[in-house]
Amino acid sequence: MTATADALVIGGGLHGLSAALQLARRGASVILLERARIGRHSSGASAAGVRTLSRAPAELPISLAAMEMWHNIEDLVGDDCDFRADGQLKVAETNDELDELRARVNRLRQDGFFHEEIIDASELRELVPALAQHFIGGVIARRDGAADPHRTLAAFLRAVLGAGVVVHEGLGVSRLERREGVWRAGDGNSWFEAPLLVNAAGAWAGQIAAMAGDNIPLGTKASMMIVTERIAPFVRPTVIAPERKLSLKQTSQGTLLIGGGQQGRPDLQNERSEIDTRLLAKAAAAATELFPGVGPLRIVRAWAGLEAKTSDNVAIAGLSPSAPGLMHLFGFSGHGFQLVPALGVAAAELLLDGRSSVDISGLSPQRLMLPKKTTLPKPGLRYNPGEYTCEISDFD
Amino acid sequence: MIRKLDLDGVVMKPVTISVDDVAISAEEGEPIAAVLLRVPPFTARATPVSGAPRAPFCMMGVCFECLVEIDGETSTRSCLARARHGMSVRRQAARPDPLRNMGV
Amino acid sequence: MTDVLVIGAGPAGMSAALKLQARGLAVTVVDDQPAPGGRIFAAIETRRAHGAEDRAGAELVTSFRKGGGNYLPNTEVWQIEPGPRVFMTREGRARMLEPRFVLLATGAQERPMPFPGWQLPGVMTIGGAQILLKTARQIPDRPVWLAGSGPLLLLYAHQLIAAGGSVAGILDTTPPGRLAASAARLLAALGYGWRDLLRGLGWWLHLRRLRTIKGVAAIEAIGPDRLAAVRYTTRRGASGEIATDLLLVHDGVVPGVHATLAAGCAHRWNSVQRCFEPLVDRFCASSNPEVFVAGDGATVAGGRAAMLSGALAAIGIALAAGKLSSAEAEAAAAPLRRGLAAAASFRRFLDALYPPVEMPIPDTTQLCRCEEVTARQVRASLVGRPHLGSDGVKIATRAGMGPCQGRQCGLSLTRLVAEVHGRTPADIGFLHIRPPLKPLTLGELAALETTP
Repeated sequence: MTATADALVIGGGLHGLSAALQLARRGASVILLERARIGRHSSGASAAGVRTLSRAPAELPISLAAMEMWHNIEDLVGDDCDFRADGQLKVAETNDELDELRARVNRLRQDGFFHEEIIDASELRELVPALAQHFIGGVIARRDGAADPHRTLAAFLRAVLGAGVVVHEGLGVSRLERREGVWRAGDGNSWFEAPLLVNAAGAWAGQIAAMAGDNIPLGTKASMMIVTERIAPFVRPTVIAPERKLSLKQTSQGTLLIGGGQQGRPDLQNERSEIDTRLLAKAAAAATELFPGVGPLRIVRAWAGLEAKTSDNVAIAGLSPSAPGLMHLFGFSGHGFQLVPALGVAAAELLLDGRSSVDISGLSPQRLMLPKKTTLPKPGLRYNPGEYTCEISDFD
Repeated sequence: MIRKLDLDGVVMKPVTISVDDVAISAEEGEPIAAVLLRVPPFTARATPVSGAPRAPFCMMGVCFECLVEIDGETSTRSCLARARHGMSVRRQAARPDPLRNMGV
Repeated sequence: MTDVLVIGAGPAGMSAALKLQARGLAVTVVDDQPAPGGRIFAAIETRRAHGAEDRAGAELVTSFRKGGGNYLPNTEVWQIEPGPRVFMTREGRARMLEPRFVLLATGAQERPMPFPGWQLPGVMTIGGAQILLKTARQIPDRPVWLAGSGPLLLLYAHQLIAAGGSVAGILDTTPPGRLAASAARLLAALGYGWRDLLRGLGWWLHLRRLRTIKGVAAIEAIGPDRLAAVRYTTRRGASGEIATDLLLVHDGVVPGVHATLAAGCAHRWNSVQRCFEPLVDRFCASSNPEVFVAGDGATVAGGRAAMLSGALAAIGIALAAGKLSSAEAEAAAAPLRRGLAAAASFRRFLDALYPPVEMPIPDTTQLCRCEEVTARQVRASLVGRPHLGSDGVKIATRAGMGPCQGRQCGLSLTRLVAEVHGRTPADIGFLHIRPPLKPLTLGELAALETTP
């Protein structure tokens, strides 16, 4: 059977949903194809940090545009997604670290960005009384915060369905071709056709890109997270300490969510990730060092996500330079959540108008693209035990 | 609600523990959950979700209803903890509060 | 250096440890209780042994103490990684062990039996009441109501009365026609289980004079803050309300699969016992060649079968470790397998006599006790989502996210999802189990010792 629409979206994570929503609201008929279930991987395992703090310059314009949308997210999807703007805060332990943060903030200001602000030890103590006493300051983005990833997914799904998008779960695209000006995507049983295509296939987007003729190397991350039992109010802003590979926040339910970059073992082929317990212990150690009171708290569960990573840790968002009517929207490297509302708009604008109102040229697929390959990629990327940084590998 | 049988030839050492600051007689090595079931109000905790009262249910560590604070350690399964002289047990009515424990 | 880590010091674990040590393998046995014996022989060293089975258990424990290897009580395993690499906590410290083989002998748990009000103080499992009796010599101080079905219900009623307690009545959920259904299997069961059958018959005759409401189809515990009454309806349409502040419930026993799921072992759905079981081969090896599974954690078959199963797993491990030849292993395994086959015949009889009841789950039932999620919320999350499974429901409703990590709701979730989608539990599978298997603290994990 063949179904046709104005646009196809491959990938039922938040970015796919957002692009589908914006296309539909512009009047396009949209079909979204998701291999497993909505939010199965990265979006469903996200810490849901709503963060402009510490972003690469290329991402700043779209991130700031997204932040405005987050502050009115209920208008967009009919639910506040439990977004609380309690701030995101990067803490400094030494004077050198603080100097580096200051230097960054100054550079940002020179470029016209004022969302990051240096705070001193006394304000740090006031904002995060639970933090270890030896931290001397930090940088804060006060309008940042965190949301609930599952409520966000549910809200976007409701909005997408309400906008008339046809969503197919349990449908994995294994065939993709362009024929007579139209994209055709199929799973072996059904075909879906549209002149416009969004590749929001997450950790598998490199494979979809390759099927469309674009060779974009993509690595895989399996960032680990720990969630604790519910506790009394403990911390309001999200606190990050990247050199320690730590990020810690408290959810609306009262649980502590501890992440920050320790990597588990991804298995793209089997669509899952495994915890690396010894590295998880390091995450727990970092948490207890920065927050001395958390030692006695019970860990309820830990998990490792499965998401894409680019070689420069910056997202890929832009039209394919070679394949017409194809929007690439992937590679968020562990910090895609906040960008969701605005990139959906950008996707719709690029596909329908040929230009985006917010500058995302720094996210172009071209910057990472390699020459076209003649053979199709082997499915899956292999993780090598003993290597705790993820490999960017080309398909061969 | 629950009562103890006679010793029936079994030798047990009596100990004293405190349950919510009240001195209670117990037998060394018996599960704390068993003690809770004979001390009014025969519950272990209030849930952190709704505050509803809960009591030991499975007695084997798989239901997590019997969580109490034992010697300062919160969220401890009382069915797996064994009575020792001087043990201090508190029913867990509120969520653990590390900020308060830090004196902040 | 540990060759074999045995997790669980019940009859299966103890039997395996003895046999493995005897074959020259270095064994470490860990268990979350303070003394060996598992559930069936809980506190056997400090209580009076009742009957031949208890005495056999007491002897096993004595032998185990002498020759069962390095025994570590009060130890909880919380993660099993490929390797195998096993993480556990003992005396507040988290450690790592890298044995060559792991034997999971962690036993069974009661099948969750959700009904409205089951979370109220005053409702307890029969298994829990039995543990109270064995480990703390405690019984209800007034006549107690029992609800459910299964041999354990009869056994506890008998034990309770023998200890001086009293049963106010039984709400019997056993479906009709069970005697006829099981008659066909009786003959095959006699060889292995004639003593059990005689005993069971004795209990049943003794308990016949108890007030029994048969054919109970649904029950509801009435609160508001603790149990005050139980309402019931029968298949025939009768109903009633019983004032009581203690209700003991039971609907059979199922393998505890959290450890085997976390270790990545393959499982299958046992459609007769209506539970998931790890797939094991003829030597008790799981789909992961370094992980073996014995006892009720592999398939529920009782204490004697667990001892046979542990011994068989020991042979399998010894074979894999090169301690005996294939021929020797087959020869040693043969009598054990015959015993297990006989146990299985008896089990089939019991399954026919007491099939899992699985009462319908009304919308108001708190399906997930930890997170207080109702069956209504679960059903609502499935509307229009034919590809949503247990994990999707978990994400949408928080069911399964609490401290018990699906031990009390996992099977019910699978059942509900299967019902709504019109599929089988085998299709749906179980929640994806993530570490830690036990709730260790951040501090304990932070101080993980990786050197022996």
